[in-house]
Amino acid sequence: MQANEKKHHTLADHFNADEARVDWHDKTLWFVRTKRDRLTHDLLEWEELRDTASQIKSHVLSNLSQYLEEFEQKASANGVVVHWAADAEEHNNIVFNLLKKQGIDRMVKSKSMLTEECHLNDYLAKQGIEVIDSDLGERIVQLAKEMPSHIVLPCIHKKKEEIGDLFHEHLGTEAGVSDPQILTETARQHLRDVFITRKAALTGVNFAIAETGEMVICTNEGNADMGAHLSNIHIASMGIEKIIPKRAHLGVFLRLLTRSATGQPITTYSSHFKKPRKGQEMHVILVDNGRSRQLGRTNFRNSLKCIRCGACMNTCPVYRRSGGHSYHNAVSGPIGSILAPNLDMKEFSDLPFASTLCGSCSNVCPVKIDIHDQLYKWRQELVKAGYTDKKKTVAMKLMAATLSSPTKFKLAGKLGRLTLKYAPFTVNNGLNPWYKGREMPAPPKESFSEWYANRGKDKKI
Amino acid sequence: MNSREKILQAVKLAQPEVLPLPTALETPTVYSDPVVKFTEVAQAVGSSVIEVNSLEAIEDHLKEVYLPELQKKWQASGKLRVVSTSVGFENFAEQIDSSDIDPHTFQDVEVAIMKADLGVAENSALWVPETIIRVLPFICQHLILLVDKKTIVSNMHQAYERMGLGQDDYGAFIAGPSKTADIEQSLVLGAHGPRSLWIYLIGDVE
Ligand code: SF4
Repeated sequence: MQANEKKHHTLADHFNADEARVDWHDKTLWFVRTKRDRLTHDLLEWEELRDTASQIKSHVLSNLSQYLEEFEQKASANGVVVHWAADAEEHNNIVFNLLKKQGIDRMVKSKSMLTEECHLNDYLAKQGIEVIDSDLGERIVQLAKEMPSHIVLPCIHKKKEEIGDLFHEHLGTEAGVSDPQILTETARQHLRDVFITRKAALTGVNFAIAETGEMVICTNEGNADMGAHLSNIHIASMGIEKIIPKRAHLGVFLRLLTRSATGQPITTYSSHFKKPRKGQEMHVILVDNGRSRQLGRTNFRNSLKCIRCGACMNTCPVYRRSGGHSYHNAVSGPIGSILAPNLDMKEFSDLPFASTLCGSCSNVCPVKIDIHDQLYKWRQELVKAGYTDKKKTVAMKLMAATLSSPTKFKLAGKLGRLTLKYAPFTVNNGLNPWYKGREMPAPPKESFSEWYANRGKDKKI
Repeated sequence: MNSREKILQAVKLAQPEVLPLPTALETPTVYSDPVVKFTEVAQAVGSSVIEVNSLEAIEDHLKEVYLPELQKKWQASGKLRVVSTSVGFENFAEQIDSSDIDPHTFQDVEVAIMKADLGVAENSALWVPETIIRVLPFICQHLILLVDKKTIVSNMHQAYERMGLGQDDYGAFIAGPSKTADIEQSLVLGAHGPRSLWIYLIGDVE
């Protein structure tokens, strides 16, 4: 059963071995979720904002080809070089060639989940190019040779003592120092030196405006700007779904993004890049890598509306108690579980099952993606396509039968209760407190049966 | 077929019939006194706000309060490099008026004084347009932004309405000092950018 080693339930088991850590992880993310709640409840027009954002994104997806061309034209007129990459490999190649042309072998990078998706760092390392991640959380996981476990809070799974150890080893702090203030100051000094000495900077893009050709990048640390403004060449990588039609739409999205992400009214910096600095080269790479395929999947099209705020992760009872790494994909959590099977159905066939389908994700999503519905639909497609193992197929069929028959349903309920004692994870943990705070309708019953059924089987006690 | 055509064609085939763009929000929150709200939010995100009535008042405050406090709080000693892209501070700040200077030479700037075009009450963001040196508001240890009280709007919609499509080659909304909470969610001010942000709100200038 080697294939199982990389599956969500197995990886979640590893994470669950340390119960105290799981509790801490759970509480930390719940804390972020409550910060979000406070800010969003303050705003009377919150729901109207979500509706508007969702509709703008629906419109963009329905007219994407035209907006991409408009953006290309405006950005080119601004002096930005526009590149197109059909897949990860082509994206990585473009970056490499741009650096090679300038004879650059060291680059500083700010947060970009797309480059994680493309495994850019590994690729460039093989070509002899060193990449340093400049977002503090990303630098920490990079030093630990790990992937970010969360799209907004990359090292949320790490304790400060572990970070202290990493800094002691790599950045020369005193052994045993774990004060966040001291560690952050150390990283500041270390990365300042990086910013000053690197000639190339790569950044992600939060929003690209068709009407003006501008790219907007949001950070709290200021790392994207430090890198870009000190570089000779700035490369921005973006998925083709990041386009918004008008500059005024930023009013909607910037109000939603950070309130949802960390419970701040806005990020410290929302930088609008239109033209390169005098003497500087600015490039943007428009990356497809499966996005046009997802656009064509009616059931999953809406997943492309995602603005990567991370709220669905912070609220997800499964994510909070299984950790981002258990999703074995660059984007983890509920939204990652919809995006990943589009990239590789077989490899990520487990992810849509890593959910209770409780719907809390859909309820916090600032662009109103029907996340839990899409997870449910993926399950059906994966079963149909034969990507789930036999046992799961049986469970799904049984499900369909039980729902249409009250007697069988009761029986299934009993069986379900029996499996509980083999699934301590689902019972003896923090799933319950989540009921108290969530704001959503009752979860669909079949999801729990399925969930229990799966857990019981996977445990194989 | 090159990738550009391939992608555009795939997108064209995959996208549904055009759906309408929604209309703007009906009644986004406005504040009866945007300046009060602005100040409250700015302080909550770690900025300091001072109301003044003249450029001289700013200079006095800078010399008598700001710099001594800065030196005390951050234990900065010796002569601090203070630069300004805003005119009127030649007495104690280096005036920057050429964009031809290598941005790396600003790495030892302690304090930068700059102007913001407008402020937003709901989140205390200040629009800092294309600056002579783009990296300046990020590379300085401490940032000072001057903004006219009259330009404070209630929300982001109003801000973009005022800004229109904009003339700037680059610009940023800045809300507070740079910060991170990446280590166990403990908030630390001064990530890569400024450790502090002071905002001078300029009232009626006689
Ligand atoms: S799916 Fe929604 S909640 Fe989740 S990261 Fe994307 S925008 Fe945020």
